[in-house]
Amino acid sequence: MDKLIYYQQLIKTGYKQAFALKKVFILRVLFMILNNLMLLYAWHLMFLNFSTIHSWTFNDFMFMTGLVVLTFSIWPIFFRGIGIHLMRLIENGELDSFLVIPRHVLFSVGCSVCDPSGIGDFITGILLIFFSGLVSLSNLPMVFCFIFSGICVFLTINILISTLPFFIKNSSDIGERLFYMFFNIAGYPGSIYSGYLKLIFCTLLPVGFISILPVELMHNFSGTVFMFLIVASICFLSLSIFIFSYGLKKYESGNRFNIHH
Amino acid sequence: MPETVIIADHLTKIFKYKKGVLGKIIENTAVSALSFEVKAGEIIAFIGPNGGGKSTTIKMLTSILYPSSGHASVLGLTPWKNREKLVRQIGVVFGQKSQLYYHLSPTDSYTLSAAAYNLSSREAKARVHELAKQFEIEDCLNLPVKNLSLGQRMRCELIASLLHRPSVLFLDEPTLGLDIEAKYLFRSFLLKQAQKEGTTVFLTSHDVGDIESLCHRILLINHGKLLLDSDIQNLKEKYGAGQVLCVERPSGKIEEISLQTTTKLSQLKKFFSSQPFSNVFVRSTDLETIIASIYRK
Repeated sequence: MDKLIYYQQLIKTGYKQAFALKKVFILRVLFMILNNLMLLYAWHLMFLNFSTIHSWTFNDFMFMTGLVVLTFSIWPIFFRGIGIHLMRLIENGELDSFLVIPRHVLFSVGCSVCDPSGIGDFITGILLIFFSGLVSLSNLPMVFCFIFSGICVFLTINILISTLPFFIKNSSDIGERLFYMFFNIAGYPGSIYSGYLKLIFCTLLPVGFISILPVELMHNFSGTVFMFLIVASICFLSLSIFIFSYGLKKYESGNRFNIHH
Repeated sequence: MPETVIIADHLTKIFKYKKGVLGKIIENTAVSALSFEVKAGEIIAFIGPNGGGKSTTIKMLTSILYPSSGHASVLGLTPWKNREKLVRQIGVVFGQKSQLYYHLSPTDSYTLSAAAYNLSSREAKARVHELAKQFEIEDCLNLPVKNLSLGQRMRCELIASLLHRPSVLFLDEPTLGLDIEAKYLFRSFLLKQAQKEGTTVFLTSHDVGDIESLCHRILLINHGKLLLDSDIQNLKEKYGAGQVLCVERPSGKIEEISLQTTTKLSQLKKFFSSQPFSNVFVRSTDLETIIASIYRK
């Protein structure tokens, strides 16, 4: 309970800090919604010509995009500090002020920064999932499980990318590219991936947990695949937290002047 | 609280760097088999030249860095094994790193710190009020940190690190960049606070004024090794020989004779009568000169 109060306060402080620049805050939310809708419109034009892509309809694509955007949005809303920001802190030796706080370093950094554009993504995600026509009251609990699994996967990827500077010096640029590569893969209709590529995306690089498996399960439910999706997501997240804790032993503090921005 | 609150036992930190893509690994020993003990309530100056290993040692003692070898204990806990438990009981101020949010007020940062240390809102407010009153900074608590002067900000940083009543306070160059007045205020508040609550203070500073006005004991390190562990008064007596009697000759040349308990009157008579003089004065050997001479040795 104490931990929850702390993280809640941390997120609140992060938003207070972001809201200190009110106009920027509001504009970022609006532009993100606009950006997502423009992208969806482009795909809509594409589907008008082809009607299906490897058996996926525009509605399937809407559901997948909604899931990707919604699960992704949790990162900027609550854990924006994990990922590129954390990589730079590690690389510049600026984690000290988080290490002297009696809380988990990873989540303290994660919740200390927020990105208002995530709210735009969150709203878009909800709208897309709702209007995809695939969701009903009966499968709503399953959709929540997909959202949970997607959040775990996005967090896992961000945590693993964050640990890179512990093992490879000056790797923040590589990390940034890896992150966008992962996001780009997740943005295409999952049906275009098949064979070994699909196998990799549904196991080692679990981007398929968000962009492939949920739509397939919505059409052809399999208890085994569903359980695999949930358990594997939790395992991936736990493993990434363990790797971060291990990497922390290699942290080298720097002597740059710095302040919370 | 244990009598000995800080123990460093052959504490060593070696940084490793790779030269080139496939190059050999270069080792830089920042701290080398450092051993010392600090008792509860002591105010220690941990000094040394740049790159001497001060900050690295503080970072190992505060659980920021893992050592390469050796052992350390702070309040009976091994810093790198009991990080969360230890940092609940210590306070840390880095002169060059802020724990306050730049666009928000110090009060916002204190609210967050209170949640981190499980202090109730009422308890935290009372503590902030008490410290702010003592540090004469009540007017600044609700201003954005970006609008505070460096002196005000450092006092706010100190409040943040004292909020949870730490038993040991680590200060790494806390007066860096402060003007004379701000330094004076910072030192007097710190001293008052440490005396009032019996806090052990472990201070690194390049400012001899900080050391003279706050500390009882000096630990001097260079190249990661302990060169000296001494009471400040003993240090002055041993290396600085206390007072120096100076005479200015008519030519403008200044001659000095060290005044010690063993100095004889006959020596002084000889000193004065050797040549005429136009001025006589006594000066103390300052700590900075003593420290610099030890570094050079």
